[in-house]
Amino acid sequence: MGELSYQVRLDSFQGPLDLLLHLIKVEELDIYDIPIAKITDQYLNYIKFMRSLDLQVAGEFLVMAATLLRIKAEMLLPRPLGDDLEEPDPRQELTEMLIEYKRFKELAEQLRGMEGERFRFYPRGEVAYPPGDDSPQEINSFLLWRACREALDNAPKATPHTISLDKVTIREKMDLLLRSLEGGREIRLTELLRQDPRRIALVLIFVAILELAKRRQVILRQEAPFDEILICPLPG
Amino acid sequence: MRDEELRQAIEALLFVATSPLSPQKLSDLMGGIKPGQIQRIVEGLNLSYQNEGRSFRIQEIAGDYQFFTLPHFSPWVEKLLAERKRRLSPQALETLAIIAYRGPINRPRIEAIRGVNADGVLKTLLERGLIRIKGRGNSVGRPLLYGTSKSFLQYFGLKRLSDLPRWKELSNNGQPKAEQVPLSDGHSFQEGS
Repeated sequence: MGELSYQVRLDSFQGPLDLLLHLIKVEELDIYDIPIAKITDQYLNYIKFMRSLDLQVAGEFLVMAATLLRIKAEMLLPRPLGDDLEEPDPRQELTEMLIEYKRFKELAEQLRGMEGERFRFYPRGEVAYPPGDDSPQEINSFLLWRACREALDNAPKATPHTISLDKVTIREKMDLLLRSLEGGREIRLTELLRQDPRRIALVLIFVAILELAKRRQVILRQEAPFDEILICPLPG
Repeated sequence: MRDEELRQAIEALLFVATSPLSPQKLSDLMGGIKPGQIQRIVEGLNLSYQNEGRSFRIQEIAGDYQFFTLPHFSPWVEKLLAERKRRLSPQALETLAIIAYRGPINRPRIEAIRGVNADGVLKTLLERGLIRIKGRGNSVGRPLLYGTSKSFLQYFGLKRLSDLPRWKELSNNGQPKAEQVPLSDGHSFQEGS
């Protein structure tokens, strides 16, 4: 089969087992004697194809890819002759999973038929079955577009949020600090911070203090660890 | 009460009822007649509807009785109700099949059979009332066990769970499989239960 034929059912695989069953069916393989190398190649091709379309490949598909490769490797290992005939086939577990899944898939199809038949009986007194379904089947691009429009129309209109710019500069804070220190006074850091509680002001005061200390225009003192920090003018 | 009057009274009750009526409820309302007798009366009523060419029948679904229109008239009824019934998704049906034939069953087992995560689909089925939590299992972590509900029987028009299609032999691309596989672990699906 060509790569393009994958496209037909691209979105309808229920999982890795479903995909494998599909490959087994279209390639007319024997589920009880799966040619593991062939199916692994097909499977990996499909994953590659999905990725080439930028589709997100669910983790479960990748786990199955790893499982297939492991089985393929085990099949390649030379099997001891003679008394080890009892050793299970590496494909056994996978085959059992596929058979079990296939059975439920067939039962699901029977339920689908019953659902359709039942839909044609209308009960007295009951208008409808409970709504709510995760089925995407009834959606087309127009409905999607309309839903999107409605959502946008109903969305609260964006109200402009104004942010006032706090015009504070480091220069300003440095000047203020130096003026406060005139006359040889000491200032406590906490006291200084209380004067202007805006967040930007607090940051700038810190930066201003550090800048002044670096320029050796103030001295920072602390009587003891964790004690109040004092900002002192330079002596002299 | 004369037989004819009894027949008419049951018809009247079912005609007025806006939800399915259980044989027990009908029995209570009719002064304690036997459920078996109710079943015979309903069969009689349906026979007369058939003979008179009526467009409806009384059906027994999930053990309860209710009037239903016949499928032939669904195109018109559908227009009247202006609703299209939405089918269950493939993953919902697969999960339901597993729960119906293997339940009560826990989520890890369902996921092992389907090979994919079942979180979302179980939530949807619970919301739709098609499955119920039946308790907790004895395996590690005591996981929740899921089983089908009465709504499940109503949705698929079944009298009881054992009316589900028989577990068919699996065909392998046309080749019949050698041995018959057992129906279930024997939890919920038993013939004639």
